[in-house]
Amino acid sequence: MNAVELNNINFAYRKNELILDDISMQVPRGSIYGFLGANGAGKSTTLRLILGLMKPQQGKVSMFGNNINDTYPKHLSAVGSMIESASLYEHLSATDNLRIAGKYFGVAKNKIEPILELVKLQDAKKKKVKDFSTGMKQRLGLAIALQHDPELLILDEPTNGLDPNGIIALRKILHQLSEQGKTILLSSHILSEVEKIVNRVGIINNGKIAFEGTMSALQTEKSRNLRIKLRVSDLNSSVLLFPNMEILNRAQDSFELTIQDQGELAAMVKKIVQNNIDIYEVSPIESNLENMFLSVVNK
Amino acid sequence: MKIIKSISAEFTKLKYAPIFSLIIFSLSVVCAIVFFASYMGVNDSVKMGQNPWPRNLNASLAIFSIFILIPFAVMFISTGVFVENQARGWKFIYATPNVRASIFFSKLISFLLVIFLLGVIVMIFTFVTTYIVDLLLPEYEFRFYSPDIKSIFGGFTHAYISILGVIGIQFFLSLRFRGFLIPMSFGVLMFIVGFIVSTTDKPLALYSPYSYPGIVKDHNMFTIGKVGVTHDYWLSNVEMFSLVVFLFFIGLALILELRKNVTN
Repeated sequence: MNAVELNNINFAYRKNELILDDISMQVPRGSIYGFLGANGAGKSTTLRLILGLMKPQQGKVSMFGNNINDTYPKHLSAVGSMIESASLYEHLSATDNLRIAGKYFGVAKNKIEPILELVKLQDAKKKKVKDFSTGMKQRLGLAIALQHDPELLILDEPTNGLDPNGIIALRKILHQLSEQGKTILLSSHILSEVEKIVNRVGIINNGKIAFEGTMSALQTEKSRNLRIKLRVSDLNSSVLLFPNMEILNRAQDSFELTIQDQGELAAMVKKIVQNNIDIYEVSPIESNLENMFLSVVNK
Repeated sequence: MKIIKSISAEFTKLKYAPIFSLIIFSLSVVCAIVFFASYMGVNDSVKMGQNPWPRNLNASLAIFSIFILIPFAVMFISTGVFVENQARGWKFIYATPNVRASIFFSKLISFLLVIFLLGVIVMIFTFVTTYIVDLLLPEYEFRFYSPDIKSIFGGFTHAYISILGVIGIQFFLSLRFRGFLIPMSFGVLMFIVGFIVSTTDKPLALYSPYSYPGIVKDHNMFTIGKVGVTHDYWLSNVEMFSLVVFLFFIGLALILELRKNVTN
């Protein structure tokens, strides 16, 4: 069963300005689902629709097999969320913020201490949130989302403002939660930050789902249209060996081009070596999210 | 039970907020005026064989209703809702297993309770101030008479009902605007306009909810006989207008809140 399922969702703030265009996606129960997209692609809007904060003009959102319109708001007791930045009352302490959230979810007060320990904020529990660093605020937001032990965790850009140590700590927490069988849906615009955590990925581009599948399927997509850099001893002769290929970024001793797959790369290297040209470097150009989109959208 | 927990959450949010400064300021103003007016006007005020309590308590209630109640409600509601906007709390509280109406009413009820409690505290502090006056100026002879508590709380209840219209308007505005400046500025401006209108002795005051507390608790401070206040039932027509305005704006705010796309 899917923890979350979206079927043919359309959403617009204004007429004829579709933010989400016929979106369908499935988040399997127990998975860590990475929802990727550039800023403004429609990630937060999709997550808000899942939480019932906004209503789609068309389509159906289901959670644990039930249409959320039929179960609203009871189904939200099984959901913890942090959309964009954490919702925090900065004039209050971490404990007070957790107490407030606990009242809405009917959580006992004795859950506050363990959750503060989990996010390593036990020493700052009495400090006012306005004196917290960005990373501490994110961790408190995570604690609020986790406090009522939800089955599904929805996190929008949870690594925002976290330093490398914070990101590693977050990954560890998410892995622990996943091992407990919880479903995690997290969005990001930075692929490298989530590819180590997630086992399923959805990519949204201009309000449309451009890719949805497992991480291994995404790796296959990544190896398509791979952009590489070659540094060689004789640049002009090397370029002449590939008259049909578009040379993208020509420098003094290196050039860049796009290859279709890894087999093509091997053949290229072989051809250069056979022509007595030395190869000093073969490196892939970082596959950032923008390139990923191009790869996925242009397939 | 859920709404009680939601109300309790609302009270936690109000902790340390500027509301406490507002309450202390309001208390200080009323008590200071009562104290100094009594202290300095002792020769004119003391009348042998007459209970001095009603004069003091009514004066306190009039000062509170006319000068404190509306500015307090305007500032309190504007900042109270702003606390939620500033925390970007709507996207969190509307994603909890509580219906939106329950969250809406818990916020409204917490505001109504705080404003009511302020009135009660002001009345209690007026008693305390009066006893202090009596210690310093025994010629008042407060200790030989009893205050008519039932009458003073009855008066406060009328003042409270007369401000419900303002509470409805301010709550509606605070929910519609993310910042507190627009609802607060509007409220303060309307308070000044309402105050001027209520002193002009014109029926125009009946159309200004911000004049109602002043009209209801006139107590001879202004001449409002021609305004058109009728008091045929337990509630005057002004109090009934206040209730209608309250219900209209709260109903409108609720409908908009239930249909709102939460982006904050």
